[in-house]
Amino acid sequence: MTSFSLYIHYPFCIKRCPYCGFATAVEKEDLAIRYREVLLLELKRRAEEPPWRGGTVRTIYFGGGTPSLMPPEYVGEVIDLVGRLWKIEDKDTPPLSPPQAVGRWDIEITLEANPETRDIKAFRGFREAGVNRLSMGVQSFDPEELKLLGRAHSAGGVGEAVAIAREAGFDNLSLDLIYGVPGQTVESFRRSVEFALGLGIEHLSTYTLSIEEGTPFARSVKEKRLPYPDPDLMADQYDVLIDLTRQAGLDHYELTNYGKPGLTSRHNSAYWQRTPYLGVGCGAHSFDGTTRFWNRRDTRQHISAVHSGNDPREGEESLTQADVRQEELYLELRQSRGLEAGEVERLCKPEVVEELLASGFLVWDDSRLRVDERKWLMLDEIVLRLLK
Amino acid sequence: MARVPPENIRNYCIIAHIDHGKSTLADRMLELTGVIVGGAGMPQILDDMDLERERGITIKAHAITMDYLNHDGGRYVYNLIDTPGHVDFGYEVSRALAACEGAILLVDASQGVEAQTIANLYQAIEAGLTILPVMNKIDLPSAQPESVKQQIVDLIGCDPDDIMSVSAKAGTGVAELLAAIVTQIPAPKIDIELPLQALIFDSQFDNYRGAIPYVRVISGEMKAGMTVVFHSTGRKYLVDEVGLLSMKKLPVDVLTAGEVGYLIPNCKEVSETRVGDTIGDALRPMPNPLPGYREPKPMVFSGLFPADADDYEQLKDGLGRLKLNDASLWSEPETSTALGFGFRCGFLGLLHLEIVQERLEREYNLNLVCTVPNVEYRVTQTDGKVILVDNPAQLPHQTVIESVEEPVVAAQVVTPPEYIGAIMQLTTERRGTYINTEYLDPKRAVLHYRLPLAEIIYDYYDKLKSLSKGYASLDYEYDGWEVTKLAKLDILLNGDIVDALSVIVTEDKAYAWGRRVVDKLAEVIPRQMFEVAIQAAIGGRIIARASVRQMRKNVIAKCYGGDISRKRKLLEKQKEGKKRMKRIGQVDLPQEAFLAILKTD
Ligand SMILES: Nc1nc2c(ncn2[C@@H]2O[C@H](COP(=O)(O)OP(=O)(O)O)[C@@H](O)[C@H]2O)c(=O)[nH]1
Ligand code: SF4
Repeated sequence: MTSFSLYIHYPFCIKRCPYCGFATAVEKEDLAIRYREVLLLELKRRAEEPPWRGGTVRTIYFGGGTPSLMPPEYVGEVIDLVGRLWKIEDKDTPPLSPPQAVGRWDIEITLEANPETRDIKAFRGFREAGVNRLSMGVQSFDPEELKLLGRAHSAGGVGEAVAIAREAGFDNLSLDLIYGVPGQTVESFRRSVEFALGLGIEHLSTYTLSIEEGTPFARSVKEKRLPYPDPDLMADQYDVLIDLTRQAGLDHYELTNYGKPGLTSRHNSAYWQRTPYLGVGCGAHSFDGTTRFWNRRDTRQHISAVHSGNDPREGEESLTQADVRQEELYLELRQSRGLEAGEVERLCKPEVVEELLASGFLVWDDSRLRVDERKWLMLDEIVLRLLK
Repeated sequence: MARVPPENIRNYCIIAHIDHGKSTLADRMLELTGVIVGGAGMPQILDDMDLERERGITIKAHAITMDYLNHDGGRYVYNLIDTPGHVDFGYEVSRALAACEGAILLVDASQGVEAQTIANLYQAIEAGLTILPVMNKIDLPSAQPESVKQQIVDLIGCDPDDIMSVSAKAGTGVAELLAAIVTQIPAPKIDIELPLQALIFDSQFDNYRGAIPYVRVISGEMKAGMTVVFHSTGRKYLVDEVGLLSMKKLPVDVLTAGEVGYLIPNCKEVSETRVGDTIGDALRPMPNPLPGYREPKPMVFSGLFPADADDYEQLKDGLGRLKLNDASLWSEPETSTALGFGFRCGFLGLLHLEIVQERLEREYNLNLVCTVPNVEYRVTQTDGKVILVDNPAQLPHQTVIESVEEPVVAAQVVTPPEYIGAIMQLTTERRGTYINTEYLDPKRAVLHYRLPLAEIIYDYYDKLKSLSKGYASLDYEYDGWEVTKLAKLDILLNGDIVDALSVIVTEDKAYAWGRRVVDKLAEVIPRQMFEVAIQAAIGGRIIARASVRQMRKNVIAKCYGGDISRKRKLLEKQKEGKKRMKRIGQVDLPQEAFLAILKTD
């Protein structure tokens, strides 16, 4: 294994949001402490195993859950450990922005943070620990929507969080916004996007609310207390997103991600470009280039598996050639760079390419085939038709 | 298995409505005569196809032979001949009845007499059978033996004391019933001196041995090695083997008058061994065949197409194989501009169609698209030529049509009186002509109607069942042609006629029909990449329109490390869904679209 991206999952949150389908648990201090111990153990074990042994880490991503609940010292300990266990890509080149940089390495190290008081106090500590990119789970700036989503912060709080992050030396900030929320309108979403972009952030991630099984939202939808997210509304909101991010000078480099030129998410790009990644922590997924693995989702089970020296993985799947082709097509077309001509020939039905070009779903852009930005939300349908 | 003289043979069938317990009673009889070992969970012997079991009907008549030792020591042979239990198979029932001397009329003591029972009973009486009335399920707390007895008395004019009571499930009274068969049902009347005449009442197919007709020998005898002639075709066959229908086929030297058994005539196609045909001795042919033979006559037609054009050969193969076993299934290749290559098929009725469709899908692993079923029309052209049209696409242009006739049926509906009003309204709406009402008893009426067959093959039966809370039952038989004013209604998707969606409807209902179909299609066609315009037209004139808006989002807008596998599975699922749709031009049409046209509200 030459190089890979590293994902570290921290499952705890202050409370559980009613729409959330992630592997999370409400924080309990003793459990969290044990979990953090176990993470270090898992990292050490993986470092001794092929194919990760002797590899080079390209990016690090702390995801959750709410990783900003971790003590900054602990985050530093993890990053230090990673540096001891593996080689770090471009370790010796200078950090991103010399004046404020307190971080050690040039590789992208992201941490997901909630813009809440308790969390923003720790921003400086995270920066000192080596984190150089924050991804803030804002979701919305509309008080009603935030209430429905069960989020504790306010629009003003987000502004403060951004200011504190800047002060702490973060020059690469991303915000998450959600659309398709019941009660949300095109206008209320437009205001949220404008507010977010007005904060001068480097990156914006968006996602549509999906109703995950077993969540309170799913129950409300089933009992018809909440309407099912309306796909037409989402399509309108998507149009607004495209317009506003373009005005703000962000690249729409992936179906749901927008970044200042050169500041795209390198970690997430690894997923879309099918390069290897190692995931540690409960529910984390890994990919070694041919096989996908995943850990148990349950926090306690994960802890006890690692503790007792067992492999916390609960599943794996090897991909058939047809699977690989489907993934390639799907993931490439999620990115604005699209497919080069040779790939198009290898993966796509030529007559469908013609048909979809004629109807404006696909475009040739710089001798690469990509999905028209305005039609991107039809990607599944496009891929189903295109795939050989 | 013992062979007994003809006076010790009893050939009988059981007439019963679905679920009144025919299979259960047959099983009990087989247990008591030692053909099968009894016990809970034993399969019901007479229905041996999966599908038949699931639907609780016997599609094709089968037969089984049992030894019966009377209490006075007399040895008897009982041949129980099964009859199919659905209106689609009325002709098959009549041939099975013709092979018997007696019929057990089995009525569920908690349900009472139903339409099907009455229809089959009348057939049996007409065929001269002795009726042995039996009430089943007397163990049920909900049984109403007295009133059901009275219904039976009113129906056949017997003495209430002659009605036997059994519980097929518990076995109560079944031994007595077996004993009564000896005394009540006559032995076959035979003339061994006459030349051979045997009636085919069913036909099976064996991959190695070919068609195997089941027969009742009426006169003379049939042996292996003789040459027989089939009356309807005049074809001759050398008999390879004759035998009895025990649990397994049991070869014997000779089948004589009065007996029931099978022969293996070295014949590759079931279509040559037709139910109702008469088998004679090629050397001593009888001048006249047995009465009642009818060419297999499909009543309902539909186009069957593979959802995936690559499966055409598979469909061809599957249909070919089903036809080997089913002489009433008719098919010929058909080409549709919308659906490509497929087959026009003829069926005895809708149920028959559904069974064939399901068997093809299940046994041959096919996804099928079935076009809207229709009846056959008799068209007189202005040039005097008369043609039969079984496909809406072939209906000649209005200008050359002198008149069109459609098949009608004589229908009888049995119902509790409180539903008569609603049923009359429904049947009138469906162009029924009222004939009369009879009362079986104060709680049960029989309505007689003359009704276009086309009305029945749509949702008449479902409607009847739902408006009578399941109490009403229906039976019908073919009753000639009648002139009707009809129009061809076309459906256009994005401006192109989809030939497979064309239907023939009565002129006065065409508008309402077109409106409903268009609305229904707009409901079942999923949103897709492009807007879909749906129109209904008669002779080029658009009479209704609707549209399905373009789909604008079909993606999960988030795809990180853990989402990729899930994503792939979601795509697989969508791909499966697509396979069940038919791409017509730019439009993905779900199979329900074809069915949707059937269910008119
Ligand atoms: N309680 C009771 N149930 C019976 C009796 N005979 C049959 N059944 C039940 O009635 C249902 C229909 O019986 P079946 O023999 O399949 O009816 P068929 O459709 O006429 O062949 C089954 O669930 C049987 O178990 C009986 O004498 N008493
Ligand atoms: S903070 Fe994020 S991970 Fe935690 S419960 Fe809410 S949505 Fe889920």
